[in-house]
Amino acid sequence: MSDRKGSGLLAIFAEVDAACAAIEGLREKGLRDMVVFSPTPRHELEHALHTPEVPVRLFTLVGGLTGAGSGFALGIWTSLNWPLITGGKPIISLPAFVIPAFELMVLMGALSTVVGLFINARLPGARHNVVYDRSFSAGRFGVYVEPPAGREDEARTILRESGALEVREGPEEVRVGTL
Amino acid sequence: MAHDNFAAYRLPLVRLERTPAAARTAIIALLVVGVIGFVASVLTDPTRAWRAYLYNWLFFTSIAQGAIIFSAATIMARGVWARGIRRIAQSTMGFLPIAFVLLIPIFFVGGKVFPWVEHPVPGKDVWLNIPFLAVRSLVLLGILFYLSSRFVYWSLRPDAGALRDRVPDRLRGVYDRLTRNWQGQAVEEERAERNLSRLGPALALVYAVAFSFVAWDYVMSLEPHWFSTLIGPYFFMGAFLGGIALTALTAVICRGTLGLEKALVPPQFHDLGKMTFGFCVFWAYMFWSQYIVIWYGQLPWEQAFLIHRLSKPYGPFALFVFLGLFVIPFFGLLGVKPKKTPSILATFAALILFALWIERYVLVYPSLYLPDTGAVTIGWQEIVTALPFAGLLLMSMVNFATRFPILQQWIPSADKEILLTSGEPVEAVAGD
Repeated sequence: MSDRKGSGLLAIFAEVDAACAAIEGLREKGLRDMVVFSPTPRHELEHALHTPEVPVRLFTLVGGLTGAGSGFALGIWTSLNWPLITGGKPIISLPAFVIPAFELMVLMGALSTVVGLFINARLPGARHNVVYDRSFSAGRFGVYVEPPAGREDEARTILRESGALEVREGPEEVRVGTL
Repeated sequence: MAHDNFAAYRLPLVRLERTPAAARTAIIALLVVGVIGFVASVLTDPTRAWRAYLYNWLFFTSIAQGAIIFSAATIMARGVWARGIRRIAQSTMGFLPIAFVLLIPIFFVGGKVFPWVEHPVPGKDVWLNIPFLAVRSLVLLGILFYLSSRFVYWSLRPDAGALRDRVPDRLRGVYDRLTRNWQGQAVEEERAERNLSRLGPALALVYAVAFSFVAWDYVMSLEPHWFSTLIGPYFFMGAFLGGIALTALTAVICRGTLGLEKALVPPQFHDLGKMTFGFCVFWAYMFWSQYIVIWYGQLPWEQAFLIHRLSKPYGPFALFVFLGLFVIPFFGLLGVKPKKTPSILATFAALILFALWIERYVLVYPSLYLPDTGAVTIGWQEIVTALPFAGLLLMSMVNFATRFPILQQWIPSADKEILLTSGEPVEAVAGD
């Protein structure tokens, strides 16, 4: 725990539906700058947040295609480099290379996904302060929003009316991501 | 919003009051045209007619049984997403006894269908003879179809009990039979759940064994010197894919014609699309596992099977099967949107069913009509033979829908847990 305080509002919810309602309500009013906490991954929250597609899947695609291509390339190159006719088949017999190509596709696709995840999440070394409450690891849902000056009351009303158990002003910040 | 994955908690009660006029016309037309066509086909070329009969029997039995196994799989895996779809998959049940009866004529015309009747294979004739074939087929399929009917029975029984006082007179008899020794709704739901969870795995195992025998006896034995240890799994997983495709197509048709928009929602079609996609890939995996070994080994007696299927005129058919069961659905159903859009999913499901029909043709015909000694492509004989089978399958499914609610009404307690923790229950949209 640090002494720093967040400048926004932190609402704590008991139910995912209430948290979703709050998120939708805030989004409708144009208050889109928020952080949501959930004890378990919930699709409902993603849907409510309308999170854009993350670019990690592009890493997967490029990695997978590179892997498949290099699998075929490896087979073709080694066969041409040491040409041996086997079983009367052509030197370049693609069916035999499908399995290494497939395996390399999976391997490189998976590794590039991990790399993409690290790059996009700015890991390791992302250190910043976030507001947090321990109950978010014990069944509660949280919505933290930083409304622009003058719109605090509006945001507070939306959070309360959606069924927040508690709305904290200037919640305490915790330092996370210290690897 | 929060429960969009599961639609409503209570599904509406939907049952066809009578056979729809369009379905009745279609069934009668299919049966009349089909039976006349088949008789004409038998009179002109009995050998070809019975071979067409065999491969159509294989196709329609595959998809009907595959759909039942699909419903069993979702129940075993506690797939709550498929709650509204299970009963639709079970509607093919009525076709299985018909398939059992329709198998019997094949034993009487075995000489026209199985090459080993005229030219017995020394050493294999212990296994490949008509009496033993008839006994093992009828016993295994009998057990499989009996277990399927027990499975569907236990899935229907709690609904039959809850509705038996409200059904019209024409259904009294059926509902009374289904609810013999009734012990009260709560007890019966518990019994049904227990019995389903015991029957499900047994049914899946018996399916794998019985359909492997079907693959050995009705596909592999047609080329009596060829053997593959993978033909069984290849065959029954193809049938499973056909069952999923049939379920998806039927679900989309039911949704449109019976107004089930609130009960069958896009996330469910998304999941159904994932299943279809996944098992197309699995089909390709099975295909490739079998192909690559034969290609590598290059043993003459193994290769013959592939060469017959890849040479003229069967090559284009085999290529179409690979495109229609793997390449086109793979790219077509890769994205989220095609899976979630019922009309697109139905189009791919129809393509898969058609490709599977061709696949069963490619499995049977090139063995019997060798490419170099008078190959036979699909002509009117093959098409008219498919019609009565299609008519009987459609009739079974429509009959099922006129008797039983097409969406399961009772909720197993395991499903309740999942449903209740995923959001507050939404009460029923008025049905019927």
